[in-house]
Amino acid sequence: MKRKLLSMLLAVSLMAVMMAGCGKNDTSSGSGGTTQSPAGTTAAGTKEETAAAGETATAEGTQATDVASLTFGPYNWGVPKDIDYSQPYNKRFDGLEYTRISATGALDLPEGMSIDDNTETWLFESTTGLKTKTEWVAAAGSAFNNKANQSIASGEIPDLMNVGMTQYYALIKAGLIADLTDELVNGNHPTLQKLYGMSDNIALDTLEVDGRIYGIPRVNAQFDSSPLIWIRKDWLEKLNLEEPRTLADLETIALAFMENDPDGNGQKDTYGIPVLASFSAQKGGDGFLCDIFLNVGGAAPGIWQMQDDGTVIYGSLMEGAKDALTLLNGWYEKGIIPSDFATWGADELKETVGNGRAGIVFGPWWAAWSVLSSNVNLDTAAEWTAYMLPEHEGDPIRSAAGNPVSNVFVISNDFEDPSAFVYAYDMWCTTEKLPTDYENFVEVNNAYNPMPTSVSPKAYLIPIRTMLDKVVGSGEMSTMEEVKQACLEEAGVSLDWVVEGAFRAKNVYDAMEAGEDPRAVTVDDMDPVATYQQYLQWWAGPRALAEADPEAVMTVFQGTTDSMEMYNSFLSTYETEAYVKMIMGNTDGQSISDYFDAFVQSYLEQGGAAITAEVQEAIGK
Amino acid sequence: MGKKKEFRIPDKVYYWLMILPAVILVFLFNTRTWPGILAAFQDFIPVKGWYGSKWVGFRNFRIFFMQPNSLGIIRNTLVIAIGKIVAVQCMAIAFALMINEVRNSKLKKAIQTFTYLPHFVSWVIFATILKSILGTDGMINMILNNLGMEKVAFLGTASIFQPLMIITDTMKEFGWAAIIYLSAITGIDPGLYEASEVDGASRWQQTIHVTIPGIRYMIVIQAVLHLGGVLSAGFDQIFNMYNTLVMSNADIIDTWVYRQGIVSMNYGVGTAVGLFKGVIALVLTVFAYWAADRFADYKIF
Amino acid sequence: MKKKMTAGHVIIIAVLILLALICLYPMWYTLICSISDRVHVEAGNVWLLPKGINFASYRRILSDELYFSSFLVSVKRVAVGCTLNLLLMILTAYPLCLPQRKFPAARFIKWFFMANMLFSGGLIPSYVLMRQYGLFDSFWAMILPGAVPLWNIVLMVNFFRNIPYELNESVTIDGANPLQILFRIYVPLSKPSLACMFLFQFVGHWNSYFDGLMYINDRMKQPLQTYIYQLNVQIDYAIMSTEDIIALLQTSNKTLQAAKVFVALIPILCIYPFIQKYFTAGMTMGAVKG
Repeated sequence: MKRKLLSMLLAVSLMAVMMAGCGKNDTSSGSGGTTQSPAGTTAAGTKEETAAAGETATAEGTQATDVASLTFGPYNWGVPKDIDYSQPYNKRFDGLEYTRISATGALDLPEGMSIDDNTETWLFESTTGLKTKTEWVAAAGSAFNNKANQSIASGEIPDLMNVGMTQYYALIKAGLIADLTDELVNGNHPTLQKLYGMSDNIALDTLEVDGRIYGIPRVNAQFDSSPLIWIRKDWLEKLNLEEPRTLADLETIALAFMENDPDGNGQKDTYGIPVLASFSAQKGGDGFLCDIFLNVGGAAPGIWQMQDDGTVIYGSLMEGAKDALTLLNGWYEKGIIPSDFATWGADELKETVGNGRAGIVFGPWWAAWSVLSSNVNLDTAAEWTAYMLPEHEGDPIRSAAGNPVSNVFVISNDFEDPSAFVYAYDMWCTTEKLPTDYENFVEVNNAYNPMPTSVSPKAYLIPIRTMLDKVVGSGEMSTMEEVKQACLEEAGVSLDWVVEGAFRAKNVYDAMEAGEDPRAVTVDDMDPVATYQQYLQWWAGPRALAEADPEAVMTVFQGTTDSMEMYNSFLSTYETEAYVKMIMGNTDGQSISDYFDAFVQSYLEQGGAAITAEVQEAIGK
Repeated sequence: MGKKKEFRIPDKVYYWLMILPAVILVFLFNTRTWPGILAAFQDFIPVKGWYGSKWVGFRNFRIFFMQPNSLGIIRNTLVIAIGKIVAVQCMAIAFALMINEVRNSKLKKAIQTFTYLPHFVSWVIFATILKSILGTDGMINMILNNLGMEKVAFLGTASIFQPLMIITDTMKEFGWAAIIYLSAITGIDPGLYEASEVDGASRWQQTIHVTIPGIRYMIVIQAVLHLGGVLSAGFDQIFNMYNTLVMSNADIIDTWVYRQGIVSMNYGVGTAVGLFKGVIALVLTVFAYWAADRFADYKIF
Repeated sequence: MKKKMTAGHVIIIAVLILLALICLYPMWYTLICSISDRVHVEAGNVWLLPKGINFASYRRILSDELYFSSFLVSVKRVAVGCTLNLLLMILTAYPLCLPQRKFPAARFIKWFFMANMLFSGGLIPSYVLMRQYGLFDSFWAMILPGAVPLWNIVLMVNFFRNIPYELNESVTIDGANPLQILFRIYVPLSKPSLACMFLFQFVGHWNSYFDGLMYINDRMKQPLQTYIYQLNVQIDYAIMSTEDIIALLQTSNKTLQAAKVFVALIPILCIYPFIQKYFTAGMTMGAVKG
């Protein structure tokens, strides 16, 4: 027995040695997690890198070559005509190849195009000279995220990545990405700097870690997903109701919808205002309640706010939340908010609206594609309008403006010239939506875009405002070209694709003004439903935003801290739970005010205070 | 052993040759990942590896155990997981025994095929169906309403959330779980039935005295194997069905880890929780192995 | 064998039919969703019968060349993977099922396996290892890590133990070596259990998508489930911009999600009847007829 044990041990240890040996060989032959690369050194030496890259570019003959003779893709597209490549800020990188990964796994491309050879990559290359090579493709969502996180974890990242804030911090911690501070702050990149400057460089500040910036922030338009109040216009007319001007009016309308059978099916089965138990003003969306809090009492749930005395406060703990909670509790008691709203998700919301069982719903300006889409498709009589409502008539309106940074482009330390992407993004944001006059131009899904462009904070507001004031208002403009030019002047960057959308939508608007059926209008080769969706997206939604002209409420801190890592998972559910309880009136016999105070107290005690102190410190850096 | 004239390779050499490929493969593809467990005690930065990452002692464990509700989370996990194991296995056994009594082979095959199908429907789809059936305007509440009873917010009542998870999981999985028992029943020596029939045993008595003892070992082994999963209560199901109202009774370890992962890409916490689950499972398995050996004189493997 | 239906039987059959119907509904629901108009599905209108019948989702899946390449990969994977699994399982289970005195080392090997069932270093070390072994983008990345079905080995050991050891001894005396004993006595006697194990492994290989996703970058080499898993996009509001979301909302599709359940299920539905006959034989046929 003993001998056998011994021999077995021997065999096992022999095997172990064997394995260890072969493991070692493999490791030394490169790859795996051990490839440390000259990561740290490159991060420090961006300047030399840049200088070296300049040489490369010259060596490749970019400055020497006549750009007019360059062609790209199978259709030989030239470089965009309206860029003056003699400008120092328009450096080209012809011949430089970079690798990326792509979240387009679920999408189709037109015949003859491939992931590295499609409209977007040709345009990108013609504008910047950079040649795209895709390492892999996966479907957007968990498939892509799993694979991307794994590649971050193993330290083998592509040259260019488009990441969220969590991944951004992880990449910095691992020392995998290049420091772009000098290039972004002091480099000559006027378009980017103007875009960031429009919101006081808050995007760059957000990315700062110990004074350095490791990525190119992509910024979005404000109020991108602010929950507007969408109301069935045909129901309002049917029940002879006035358009709402305050939240109190909204309550009246909701009660009328519930009582008076607007869909005419003989049953009292219409919901008042189906909402979701989502409060955060970080990012709004379908069914979100954040704007109610911002406009009633002024709390900003889910985001960090700076107070007058210079201290930060977590918006969900702001005193003003009591007012909104009291209002919502009143709605709940009256049955306006469904009794089991807290169990609902986006699918249930969409079903309820789709079935025609609700005539009021909160959704972003593009809700025509999300919560309203089933209803608009199924009910050809349904008409919607959007509003933003204050608590009292005449009050200024506030709304969730979204995050300062929507995502971040990061560049691997191993890439020979990280600054290339700053130049490239600057040019790309100047032109990307322009050169559609190419021969054989076919639009492909924006997801194929190597570096989706940043847009001006007011991108979706300026065109509709111009349309309302100058086209249908004073009538001083009439052609699309005039409006495009006016928007370009006001925004500093092109907004052509928004203007085009607004002009498509105007056909429906004109029909409504003429007293015709807006649901019968068609434009281009779209059917009436798609045309109406265009109207909702490019006219009804933005119009509500433009008319309300809300004050933007944004977080002052978008990062994470040690204590957040420790407590946030608990605190975030604790917070939602407390809010829902107060709305439902399950406050253990206490008044909402007392219950709220107790909630704040215990929130701070269970980690909230530590997090606040850390955020305060991080902001004061 | 008896003497052999000609040379004969000893059986043990065969045994080693038979078992070595498996041992080597398991070693190469699983045992060699074990150093990764060290990440549980580190502020793990993957590129820096296990040698370069900072050691943080039990911080990753503390992150979980210092949650004000961590005990509640463990309790929920245990109740739901154990409830599911017991319910699914009992239902599967009962089903296997019942189907064994059906003699019309077409009917038998049809029933079997139908009952294992839900196993292949994902929880995303299953949850959609359940939410519609159980919602306040769902089928069940309509029936209750017609009977003059109060509506019940099935998915929004904390106290019934756990039983609901157990029942729905049982509906989905019992048919699939029964397959192993069906195959065990098929393996029972028909001679035993003939003998008991000769003794005048009824079908019921045959079930009690022949079939159940015949699959007893399979019941024991299934129970022991599933002990490894007592801290995994089914992420997909809970994640697709829980909501704020039932959080106190619904949050399980895996959903917590998932939410934690959203806050930060911290591999240490995930690994620490995995290690914790592994250790608990090991303790339980060793105990069950010992108990089966001691009290039932049965070696599980 | 003819016996009268007793009241007990009637009740049992009634209960079973009820259960079967309940179990059938989710599948039926998935089926009608997959052939309904997506707008009706998203509005929650589809319950008992499909609405706006069309086969767009199936057409979308079946017209994709990636579908066929990944289908072939899956077939190959199942064929190679199941064969290897079964072989390793039988070979490994046999020495472990013997009485302690025959193969004392089995004890340690069993605990070695048990420890490996319960503990794993997780995803990242596995990923690094696969890199080291050079298995990236290789077919074997989907086969080798799961080649030893530990869980099933434990079950198999127990099935084997049910076979009377006297049989084994009697053949040993005739001079048969362990391999001969295994394949002449144990394997034929364990047909129902082997069928059951085969089914588990078939389904396991057929359904797994994660290894294909992680270790294989070339989409032509990914298995069917990895392809199917990626037919649907999930919209991630936290990281996508409005432009991306609108673009993706127009392609997101609940009917496609339902259709893919069916496309993936078909091979399993085809193989099940063949497996089923091994364990529906029931007590009358007598499984032990060697």
